[in-house]
Formats: sequence, structure tokens, C-alpha cells
Amino acid sequence: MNILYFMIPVAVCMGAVFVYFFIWATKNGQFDDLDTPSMRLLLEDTEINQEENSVDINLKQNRKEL
Amino acid sequence: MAAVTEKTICCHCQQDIKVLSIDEDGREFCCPGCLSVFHIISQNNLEQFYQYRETSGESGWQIPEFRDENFSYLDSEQIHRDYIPERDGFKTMLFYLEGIHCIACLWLIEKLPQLVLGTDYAKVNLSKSTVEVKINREGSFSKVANMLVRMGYFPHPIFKEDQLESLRQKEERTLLIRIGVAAACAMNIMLFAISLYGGASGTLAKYFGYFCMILSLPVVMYSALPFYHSSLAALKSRHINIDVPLSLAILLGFFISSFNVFKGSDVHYFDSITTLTFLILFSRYLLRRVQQNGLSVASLSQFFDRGDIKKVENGNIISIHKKYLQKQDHIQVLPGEMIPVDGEIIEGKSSLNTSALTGESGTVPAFKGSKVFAGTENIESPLIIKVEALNEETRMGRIFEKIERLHQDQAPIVRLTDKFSRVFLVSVLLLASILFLYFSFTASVEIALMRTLSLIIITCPCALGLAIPLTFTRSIASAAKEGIIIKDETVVEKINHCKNLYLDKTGTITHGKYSVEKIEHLQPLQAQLAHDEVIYQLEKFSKHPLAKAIRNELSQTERNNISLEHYKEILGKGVYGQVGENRYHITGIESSSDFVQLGLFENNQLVSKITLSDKVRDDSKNLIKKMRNLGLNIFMLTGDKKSNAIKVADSVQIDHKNIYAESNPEQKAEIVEKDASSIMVGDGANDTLALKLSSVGIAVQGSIDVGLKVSDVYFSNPGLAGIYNLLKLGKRTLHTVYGILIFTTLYNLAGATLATMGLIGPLQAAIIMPISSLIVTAISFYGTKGESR
Repeated sequence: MNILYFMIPVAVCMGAVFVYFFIWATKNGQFDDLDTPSMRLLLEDTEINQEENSVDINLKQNRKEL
Repeated sequence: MAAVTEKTICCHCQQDIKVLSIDEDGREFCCPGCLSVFHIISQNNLEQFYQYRETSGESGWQIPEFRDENFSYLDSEQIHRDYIPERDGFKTMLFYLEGIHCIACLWLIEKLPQLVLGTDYAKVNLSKSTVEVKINREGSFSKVANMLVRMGYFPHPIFKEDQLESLRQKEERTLLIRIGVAAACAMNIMLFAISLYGGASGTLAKYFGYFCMILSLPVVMYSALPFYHSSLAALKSRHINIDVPLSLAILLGFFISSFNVFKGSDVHYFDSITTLTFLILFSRYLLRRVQQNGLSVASLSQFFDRGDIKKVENGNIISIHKKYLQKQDHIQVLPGEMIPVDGEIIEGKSSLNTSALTGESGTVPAFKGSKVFAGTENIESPLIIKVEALNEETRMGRIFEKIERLHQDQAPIVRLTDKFSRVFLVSVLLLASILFLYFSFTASVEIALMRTLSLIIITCPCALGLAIPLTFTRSIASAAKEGIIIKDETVVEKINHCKNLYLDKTGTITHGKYSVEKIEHLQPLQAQLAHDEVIYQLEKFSKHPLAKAIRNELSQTERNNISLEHYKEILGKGVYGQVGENRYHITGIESSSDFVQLGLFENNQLVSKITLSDKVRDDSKNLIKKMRNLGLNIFMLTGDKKSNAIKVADSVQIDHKNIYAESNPEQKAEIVEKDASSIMVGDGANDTLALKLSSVGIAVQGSIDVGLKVSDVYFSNPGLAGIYNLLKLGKRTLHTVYGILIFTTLYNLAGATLATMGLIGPLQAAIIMPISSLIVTAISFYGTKGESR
């Protein structure tokens, strides 16, 4: 059982590393908004008609009329 | 074209169509706003929006009323220099968006970079209804804002000058870190604690003991700090709040356990105190989140202030931000806009709606040389105003300043839980010292210490710290679903003790704006046309508020789409048009303090009379009766004339002796302040002081910004229904809290007795404590079950 005297501090140190990362993530605003990202996940990330929409819609409207 | 008689659904917002707009493909919309939004969406192949909206389960919302705000001030150098610093060639800005609902909105808005050139990203925060937009050097915030308007949202730029938002963010993050630290330590301690309960002994047990102590240090010294601060603050003001017994339990538990560890005993409570800290912090975090969700309203005030001002400079009109306006400047105020300053009219003739300031329902004529005040609405035609007082110097500003001052020296209210914790703490401490002294003399100090400790641990105020915040959390969340936004959870408790309900008349009992009372047709038209149709066609394009009211009233009438020619609107005079040979016009014929009469003329002959007045809301009478049945005394407070007040009071059955008419803001406040159990409901600036000084201040939908700021509750649905629901919710919540308190008392009595008799050891205490917490949590869930569906 003597190994416990060594293993437990190691385990606690590993835990401390995770706590450190948690604090780091929180300070970086990772948990500021808990509602939106869960929904954003459901959205498809398709880019729509890149070249046609890239500029201004008024432009496109004009083109349509022509 | 076919007549529109049956109900049709708008292609964009899916609401019943009242005012029809049809696009070239024959699709039907309720308003030009929806039509333009639909076109933006379809032209850019964003139809997926509608799919997402369907799957989100939310359908049929209205887009915010279309307002013509000029955002070009967002590109001015001044603003950029003062508020929007550039970083690596990029600039970011936060907008608060009106009209944002669900996942579909999220999807649509985050497509901004593809719609507006130079936009790097748009990041939506649904719970705060904000979007953060980042642009590069080619981008422009005014273009972004205009695009958002065209998408059907209304953006309010947020200037980060006040540090409030970032301070709140920091506070929230710190709380989260405290919770995280407490959780990590508590879970690790639990590992050792379980092996100790399981029978670890000898050097290993001693080793574990030290480990637990070291691990609980961060919890006691960092995570639990808010408890100590709050109890110190309470003790300083000679109060006792729930945090006092909590802090005591945590500190005492820690010191006694450490003492035991040093002494070599393996009886300690590090697991209990750390878990307790974690759970209570967590429940408070939940409460905070639910309070903030519907409610950036506290900081909403700045949003409702219009940012853009049309300044007249060398004959040109330029858009600037309010912050850069100076005295003696000339500004233009269009019909339908709020006057932002105190000043003098130097050009134009119009009528003003001063109800926000005075509570009078009628309009007041204004002409060159008239003094105007901030917070009044221009009704008829454009005005040029010379600025004489700005911001705090305006009459409205002075009222607000007074409110701010009041806000600072307001005593905190004593909550039910605080009262309970006072009794609780005193009895536990008393019992503990008696117990300690008794056993020190009769048995040994050792036994005395053991039993005292068991008593303190077992009577740990879990219920108060955990279950009661949870109850309030669930109540506030369910209220928010009904459109009642509660800023302060104590309201739910306080409202039960209030006996007198003071209602503002204009805007609260009534709609607060003109609507059609009746239309009389004096004689048939020469042309084979319906009067209503002619009226509708004439008023169709006018921006005048009365025209809007008439359109709403006539939206259901049959329309044959007669062709109206030579349409013109002369501001301050009326609207003109011609159908075939006949000339028609609508103009005002009579107006008094409580109604306006318009006439429809055919070839200069009066054919119809339209009477408009500020009507009582349909449900007011019924709800007032219901609330009276709940045992409330109903009063009416108004700045309006007595005759108008009596007329409205009669229609909703409020006693004449309960009417306070012709009262100015200060008088209103005085009446409410004298009454120790008053609920004040109002909307205008003239109510704000009273809202602040009442026990519970409620702002109804459409209230002005400061109303929202000072009130405790805000209704996002119009009318009085919210008050009735709030009263019922308050009752249910209070009953649940009582249930929890009764259980806690019984549990603690039993626990204390057993601990005193020495029947409960450390192991039993450790098992019983979480079970009692579970039970109170269950009571809390059961009691608020009906509400959160």
C-alpha cells in the first residue's frame, strides 16, 4: 500500500492541472454564453453562393433587373 | 384582384394579416416590413431560415415596428475615436437586437459576413439578445446596422464606455471559478472520505486526514469568500442573513476538523463543508443566470434611447449621436419621434403628446416659440428645435437624477429567509453552548466537543442555502416564460404582503394611444363605394399615428382595391385623394382633451365622422375585478383631468374615492410612499418616481427606459394580465418556501435531539445531511412544478 503515498499526490497534481485549465478557459470567456453554442451546433455550416453574395445585395438586385 | 375577406397568413411572420402588402409574385405579407425581410432572405438564398424556424418550434412572431433610424453616425470619426478602438485592423462593436427569437435568427444573423462587405464575423448571444460584429478597414457599422434593420431586427448600438458590462462579466467568471475550485476539491476529498468511512485506519487514515485538510483550504479560503463578505456586511449593519450561519458552519467545521486531524483523530467533516460550499454556490449561480436571462433590462435603459439626432447645420440635416449634441444647436424632430432635449421651437407647427411626462391623454398644440420638453412625442409635422437643455439638465433628467439618488440610500429589505436564519442561528448557538457546558461538567470535554460538533453539522442550513434559491430560480424562470421579467427575487416574496394596488391610467389601464372609438356615416356616398374602404385607402400611406389607428380598425373590412388618384398628404391638414370624379379628404374637425374627431369629406361635404380616443384595454375590467377578489384595494393614479379619470374608472369599476387625478409626478410618489404596502403599476416618466418609492414597482410594456430601470418587475406583454399572474405566482412560491422552512425546522429539531443524546455519530451525520438536502430540493421542485411547464 506504500505506493499510495506516491500515487495520491500525483493524482491530486493532475487534478490541479485540470483546475488550472478550467480557470484559464473561464478567464478567456469560454463559459460566458452557455445557450447559443449549443444551438449553433445544430446549424449546417454551408457557405451560401459565395461569389454571388459577396458584395452588396443592392448590386445583385440591380443585376437581376438588368 | 380578389377581395381579401378570409384570414390570410403572412409569408414571413405567419401572423394574421391586418394590413396587406403583396409582392410581384402574389405572395401576401402583413406589412411592408415583412415583405422586405422576406425579399432579403430569398434574394440571398437564405430560405433555410424558414426551415430552421419551423424546427425550432417557434413560429408566428412579429418583427419590431419599422423605425427609420439613420445609423450613419456610427461611421463618424468622433464615435470611432471615442468608443471603437482599432485592433490589428479590426474593430468590434456590440449591438442589442430587438426581435431576436430562436435558432433561425441566430443562423440568419451570423450570415452577416456574407451579406455586408468587410464584415469579419457576427457572433450572436441568444440569452442576452446581443450580436458582436467585427469589421475590417473596409467594413462599416452603419451598413451592418442597416442590414440588420432590413433583416427585421432593430439594432441598438452599445457603447462600452460604462464598465458595468465588463464588471458584471468579470464577476460572473469569478463565481464560476469559485464553483469549479469547490467542485474539484470536494470531489477529491470525497474519495478520501469514503475510504475513511469504509474503515481506513492507522497511518493511512492520518495521511488522508492531512490531505483532506490541504484540499479543503482553497474552498474555505477562496470559494467560500462571498459568504464571509456578505455575512460581515450584514453583521456590520446589525442584520443577520443566511450567509451568517453558513459561514459559521464552514469555518467552525474546518477548524474543528483540523483540530481533530492534528490531534490524530480521524473524525472530520471536510467532505461535508466543501460539498456544501459547492452546492450553495452552484444554486446561487443558477439563480443569477435565470435572473439575467430575460434581463439585460437593467442595462436596457440606454438602448431605448434613440442614438441618432438630426442636426441642422447650414441648412443641411446630418445625423449625429446624442452625445455630441450641444446647447444652441438646431435639431429636427419628425412626426412620431420623441423630442430628445428641452428647447424652443423655432420652425414648424405641430401637436405634441406629453403623456409620458404629465400623464395627460390629449395632445397639446405647439408652434414657433413654444417650449418643448424631452420625453414628449411629436405627432403631426416636423419641427426644428433649438436645444436649451440636454441630458441631466432637462426636466425629465432632473426627475431621473432624483431617482438615482434615492437608489443609493435605500435600505435592504429583510427577507423571510433572513428572519428565519436569525432565529435558527440563535437557537443553534444557544443549544450548542448549553450542550457543551453541560457535557463538559457531567462527562468529559472530549464528549462535549463531539456532541456539539454533531449538532452543528447536522443542523447545517442546507435548506435555506440551497432549496430556497432554487425555488426562486424556478419561479422567476417560469414568470419569464409568461412575459413577466423579475429583476429582484425578493419581489416574489414581497408582493404577498402588499395590500394596495396603484394603477396608472394612461398606458396601463388604457392603451395609451389613440384608437378608433366609433365611425359614424352621416350620408351615403355618391359613388358606389363603401365609406370604410375610402377611409382606408386615404389613410393607407400616412405615417400619422391617427392614420395607423384607423388602419388597424379597418384592417378587416372588405377591400375591392379601388384606385385612388392624386393622393397627397398635407402635414397638419390631412390627406387628399380622388376616385373617379369625386374628391375625398380626411381632416380633423374637433379635438378635446380626451378625444379627437376626424371627418371624411366628399367634394367638401362631410359624410363620415371618425371618433378616436384612448380606449380602455379589453381585459382591464375583468382583471381588476379578479385582483379585487384576491383581496387587493385598487387605486387609480393619474396626471390626467378628473373628468377623464372618472370616465375610465367607471368603465373598469374603480371606486371614485380611490381616484387620484391631476397629480404631478411628485404627488404620485408621495401617495405611494406613504403606503407601506403598495404596488405601483405604470409606464410613463411621470410614474418613475412613484415606481421607485413603492414597495413593488411594475413597469408595463411600452414603458419608457427609466421606468424599466427603476421598477422591480417588467411586463413584456401589454396590459394588466401580468400583475394577476405575478400575484398568483407569488402566493405559490411563498407556500413552497413555507413548506421548506417547516420541513427544515422539523428535521433540525429531530437532528438536534438525536445529536444531543449522542445517538448520531459522524458517519450517520454524513449520510443524513445529503438526504435532508435531497428532500428539500424535492419540495422545491414539487412546489414550483405547475409553473415551469
